[in-house]
Amino acid sequence: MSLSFSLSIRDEVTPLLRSLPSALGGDGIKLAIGRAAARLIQANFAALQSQRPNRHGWPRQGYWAQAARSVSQPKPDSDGVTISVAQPGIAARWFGPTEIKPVAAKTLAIPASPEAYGTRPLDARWSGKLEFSMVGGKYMALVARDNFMRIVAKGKNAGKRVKASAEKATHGAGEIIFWLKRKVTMPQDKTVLPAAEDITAAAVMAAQDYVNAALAKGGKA
Amino acid sequence: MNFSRPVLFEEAIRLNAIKTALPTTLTSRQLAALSADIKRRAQFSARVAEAEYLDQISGTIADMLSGKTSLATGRVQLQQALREFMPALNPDGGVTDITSNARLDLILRTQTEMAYGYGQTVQGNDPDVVAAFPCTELYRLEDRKDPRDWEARWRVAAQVAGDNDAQRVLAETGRMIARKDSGIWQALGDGAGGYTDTLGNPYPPFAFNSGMWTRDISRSEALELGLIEPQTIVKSADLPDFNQSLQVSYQFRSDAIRAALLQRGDVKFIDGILVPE
Repeated sequence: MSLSFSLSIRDEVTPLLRSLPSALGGDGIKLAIGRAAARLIQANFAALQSQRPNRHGWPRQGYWAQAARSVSQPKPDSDGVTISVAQPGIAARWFGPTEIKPVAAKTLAIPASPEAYGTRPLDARWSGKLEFSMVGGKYMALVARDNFMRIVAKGKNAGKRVKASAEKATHGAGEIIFWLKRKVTMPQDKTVLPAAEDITAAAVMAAQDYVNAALAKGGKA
Repeated sequence: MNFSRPVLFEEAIRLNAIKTALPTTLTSRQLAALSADIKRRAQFSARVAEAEYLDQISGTIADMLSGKTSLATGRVQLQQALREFMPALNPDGGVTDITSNARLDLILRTQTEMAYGYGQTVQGNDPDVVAAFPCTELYRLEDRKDPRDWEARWRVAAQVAGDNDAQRVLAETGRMIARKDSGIWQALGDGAGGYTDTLGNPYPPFAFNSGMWTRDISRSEALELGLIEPQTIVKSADLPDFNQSLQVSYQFRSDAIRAALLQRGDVKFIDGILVPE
């Protein structure tokens, strides 16, 4: 689910607009304002990309970076502009807590190992390699049927888990690869977007820059 | 802020939609030698001769761009589509194996990033946006184990483009910032300096799996950096115009690409599949 919101800053910008020639009060200034807001949202995601490594220490998937790339600034509307973020999961975090239930299956598959992270049970790499298990008689999981990795013995990567062919694999059989859950709850996280007052401040600065540029051109939009 | 119905990233989706499927047996290296314009207009993957599978790639990317699906789910969709064409899958293969996760991820990531990069650059070059944000900064969005030397690439691209200000700002601040109408952006995409991993576009990601992206620089900051003067009018960049392509028929786009490719003399079509001459 993508996220979009409209930005309306009439109260802050109107006094400035009233002081300008009418040619400067059109959609152009809204585009500049919207771009400032989009820029700040993108910067927020970029900061999260650098500040939030995977909490398990697993190889990163670049989720926040992709969120930054997916920020767009569509056409202005009557009050301001609407900005959208196409990356799945952002809306669920912002509007949380959000209950997430499976749509195309009976359970959600939650990665339980670094090899599972960023994959799905239907991924070709797991084809024929997983089997259902009740862990502790209580929790549903997909576990590895056979060994699928080895532990590097020496060198700079000593101790690391690496993929291995069936002939060379020495570890992994019985390891939990995915937890199967009927639902999960994603907690609310308002830090996925910048604070409203910061967006407004950036928008006002952009409006001022736009006006200055227009005045430098002789007051024409 | 008021939250409303989702709005699609139109420019990115439009770029993905106009691409013509181009089945081919050419290798990645051979494909890299094609012109950037052909690469923008054609949807292809090295050594993939199935047009239907290429259309599936395009559809999956469209779903990713609209937020309907993630990279992991998109990969599974393509693997399932591939099962129709290839009886044996080798998911543990490297990038050269067209069924491997690494290869599929590279295809999906590169195509979606190119679409996003194009969309953001088109929006960023609207004349009204340029007025408030006349410059762009190239920065590292994602870390890499072995990062490429983008500052070295920047220096060469600035030299090729004749953008002395871009060189100066890098030397003074350590930041890669240039005007939106500078030729440095196309030079970066062209691999100025002999780099062969670039995508031929004047917008990010500039090269395969680069981890680099761009962000706007405000007029105020551009003045402080000396990239513009108070009276400077920065023009919008001269970007490839895809709007005309949206008006023509699918057949015409195919014929146009076919004619452009055959002019090269080193490729030909056999039963609709692009192969080396």
